Amino acid sequence: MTEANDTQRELIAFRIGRQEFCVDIMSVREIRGWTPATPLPRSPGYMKGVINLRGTVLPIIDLGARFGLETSEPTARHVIMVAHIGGRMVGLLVDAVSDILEMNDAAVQPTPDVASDQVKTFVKGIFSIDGRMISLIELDHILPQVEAEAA
Amino acid sequence: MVSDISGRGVGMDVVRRSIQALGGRISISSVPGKGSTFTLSLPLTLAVLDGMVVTAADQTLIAPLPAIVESLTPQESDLHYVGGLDPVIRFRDRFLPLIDVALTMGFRETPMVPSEGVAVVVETEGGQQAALLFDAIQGQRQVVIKSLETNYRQVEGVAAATILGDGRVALILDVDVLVTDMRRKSPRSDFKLAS
Repeated sequence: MTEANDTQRELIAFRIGRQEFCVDIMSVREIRGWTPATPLPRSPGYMKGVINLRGTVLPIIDLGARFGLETSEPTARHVIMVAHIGGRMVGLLVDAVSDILEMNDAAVQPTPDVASDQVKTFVKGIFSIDGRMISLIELDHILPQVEAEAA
Repeated sequence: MVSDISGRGVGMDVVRRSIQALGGRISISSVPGKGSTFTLSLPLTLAVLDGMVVTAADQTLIAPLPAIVESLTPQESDLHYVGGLDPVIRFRDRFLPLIDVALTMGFRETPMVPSEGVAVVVETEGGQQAALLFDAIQGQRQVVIKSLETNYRQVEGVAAATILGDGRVALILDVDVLVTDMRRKSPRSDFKLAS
């Protein structure tokens, strides 16, 4: 067997609505509470705006909306996961962060075929833990696709 | 002169820490009996802008002062509608397009009553003049420019951002784009569509 299957990864699990997801913990820099964001004009609906993170302007993406899930207005009970994605710092708005999981790559199951195309873009696979289904999320495509940059 | 408060170098230490917090450096050279020279250096990326703080709907925005010609309260008698639809305002002897900023940026769904707001006459780099309609003018201040593109991307009509005294982010308007490129939305068009 190849060594890759024995790779242990630390993942941070979080909840959006009644669904559970997880991402590689190395992508997540910090976790903070929700603060009202300054909206950006003419932006996609999942773009909540920007907040001040110790002097840096941090965009906030409503992850549930990005996945096409039903979402509610953010409140103080929501959580922002500050993630490092492709050289940028981005805030991901979720309902709650639950636990840190140590998972073996071998434990990842392929995404079931019922998933919509939108979900398949972000979900790399799923874990089954104590009867919970936790979807492993790929963060690379979370930000809105940048149109061809003007020269 | 040394007293209970002054002369103990406390002020100097505060200055040094503040400059270092901005990523800069300060040095002193003194010639006894002649004087002292303080040399301050700040990173080029610490760009500062003189801005007019305005509100559009419930949003606080910054309009760059170099682009501003004058501000005025729109009088009903100075307001006209080209073709019955496009608002213009009489300014001196000309008619300038009146741009409802909150409406254009999607902060509000319906146009505001011009005489209830304030019109800021601006001029683009190309010499075009227009009047930007805001809810109110809050004041004037120098703001530190923060990039929106570092962590996100370019946003139409927005040049950059800044952090206000209360810690909130305020957008700095790109007057040129606002006046020339952004289509003024009529109340019926759906501008919630993703760009």
